[in-house]
Amino acid sequence: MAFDLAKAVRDAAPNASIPVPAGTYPATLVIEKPLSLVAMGRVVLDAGGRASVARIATKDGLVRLAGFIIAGGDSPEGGGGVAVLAGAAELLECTFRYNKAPVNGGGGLWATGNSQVTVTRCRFEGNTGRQGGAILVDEVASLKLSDSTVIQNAAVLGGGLKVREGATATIHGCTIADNKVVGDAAMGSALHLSGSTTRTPTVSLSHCIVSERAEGPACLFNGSPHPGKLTLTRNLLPPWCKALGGDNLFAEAKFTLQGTEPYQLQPDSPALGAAAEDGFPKGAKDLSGRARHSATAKPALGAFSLVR
Amino acid sequence: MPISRVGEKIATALQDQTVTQDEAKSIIDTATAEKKWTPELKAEVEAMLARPGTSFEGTAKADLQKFLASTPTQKDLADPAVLNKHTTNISWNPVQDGKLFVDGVNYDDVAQGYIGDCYLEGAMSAVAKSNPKAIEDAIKDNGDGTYTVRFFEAQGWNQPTKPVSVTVDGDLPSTSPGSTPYYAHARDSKELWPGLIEKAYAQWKGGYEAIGNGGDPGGMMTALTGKQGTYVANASLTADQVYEKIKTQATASRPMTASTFGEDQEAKYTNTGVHAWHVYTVLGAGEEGGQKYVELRNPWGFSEAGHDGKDDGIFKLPLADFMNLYQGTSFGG
Repeated sequence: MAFDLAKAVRDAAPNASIPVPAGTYPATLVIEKPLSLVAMGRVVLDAGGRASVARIATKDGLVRLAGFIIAGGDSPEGGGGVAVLAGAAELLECTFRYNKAPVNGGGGLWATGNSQVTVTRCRFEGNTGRQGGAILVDEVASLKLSDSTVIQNAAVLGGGLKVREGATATIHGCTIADNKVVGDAAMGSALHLSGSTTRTPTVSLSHCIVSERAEGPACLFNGSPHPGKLTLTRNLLPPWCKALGGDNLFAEAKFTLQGTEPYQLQPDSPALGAAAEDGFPKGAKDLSGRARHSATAKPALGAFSLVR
Repeated sequence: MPISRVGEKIATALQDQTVTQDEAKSIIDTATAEKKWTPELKAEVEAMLARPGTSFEGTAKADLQKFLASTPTQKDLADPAVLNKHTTNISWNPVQDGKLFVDGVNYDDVAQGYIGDCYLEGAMSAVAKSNPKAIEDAIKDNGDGTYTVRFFEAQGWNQPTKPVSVTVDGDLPSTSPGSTPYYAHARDSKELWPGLIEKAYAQWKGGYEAIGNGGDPGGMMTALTGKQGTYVANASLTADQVYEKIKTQATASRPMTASTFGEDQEAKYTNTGVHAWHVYTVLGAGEEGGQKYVELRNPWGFSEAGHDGKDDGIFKLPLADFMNLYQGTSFGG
């Protein structure tokens, strides 16, 4: 008998761990208790354009999704791929691909309310949203995004990420590249911050690579009238960003742009060995699961630590 | 700071230290023609009346004093920035004889303008339908040409919302004085509440660009009522369950909106009268001739499915069509 994912989620006891056999599942999951869903092999969760792939709202505990390809989500509310409305969620080694949130935003992921979302070694590719093509962090939610790629997503505001209201995003060791903004108001292909008269978003970007075709606020928007608190530490940023200063590097990233991992680095990329001494903890892994540290060189900036 | 037109007339009148009746009339006429009679302009005339060494011929002084006493001032506050693409063709204009409410609050008052905030307009209409008093209570006329709108700021799931008050003046953006406001407005051109709520929301969030690129209708209903709601995708329920939920929530006077699919699915909307990438107000559900329907309202105030004899944006859609054309429903608290 085929594995019934929705039933497994419905029937699971709180804090249960559900191994999901390899395969493709139509999925519009509603998760309202702490759970761990673990992909056993290649598991595609596809909402078929009908709703979010997973909508998470828990009072306490942690919801964990590990190893999934999350695709075909489409939600006007927000978070075509995954919407986290409340509680804590951990998304590990997932790929968010071709999800949409056309009315609000967060094509791949919408973290809102007072949710706390940790995203590690994930890929956001080809997602679209009105605000935040890949990710929208909203209200007073917090996001920790590390060792991940945000590639070729699109929106009107914040092609890659949008952080608004009083939300917080800590982004570390990620590659944000080739995202797009479209429309009359298009701003922030990589990142868009906007507050209000009552709240200010906070974003910390460290040890990342930002590589976009757009320049200025069309790439990194943190403008008037209610800018956020944006801290840029030890990133590889496009040359036009020089005015931003700090201990960032300003140069082309030099991706290989070939094969199955086109955002790995060429051997002469300035991101290689550019991490600060304590930039990554001992034992840290990059997106491909390889050790960040080696005996011969310091770790690289961005999602991929080693050359192809 | 440039001198006002009233200030120019005063300066001319004071050249010979004597204000004639004609000069007083000219000052009053100029003041009357001003877009807005502000406390700052009034202060200029008061300063002239109190200026030592100035004489007034005939009834000049009395005429000016009478004008000041009979003409209430209206404050002129800073307005939120309009959409980038509208900066050259829009100006801020008072609505002549504008009233906050005309015949109370009605869900059919709301008309969306040339801005992508259907989530806001649909939510406003939904709250006006379910609880018109919530709209009345949300706006206070300060009596000086300004209005204070009280919103609620969400603090997270099951957390109490926090009230936020935003004060704006009564000017609305339009292409010329007297023309229909370019953004949210009411069916009755003298009724202000839809335009003022939208303006105050823009002021809070950082301008019309900040609110005019989509948003969450459920979040907007929370901002208006202070109560949290939920979103239910049509895909997660059967048609009968959706019907019963809408019916039950309508009976309980809960505001509701429904969203269509994105532009990439535009083809499925051909000849339906329903628009892709749009938020509608849900008015209720019922049954006629054995067929279940959902009643909806387009926040544009026109353009609808079917032919009910009037294009007011209000229409009854068979339940099966609602399930096919609408992605889900936001239920307010």
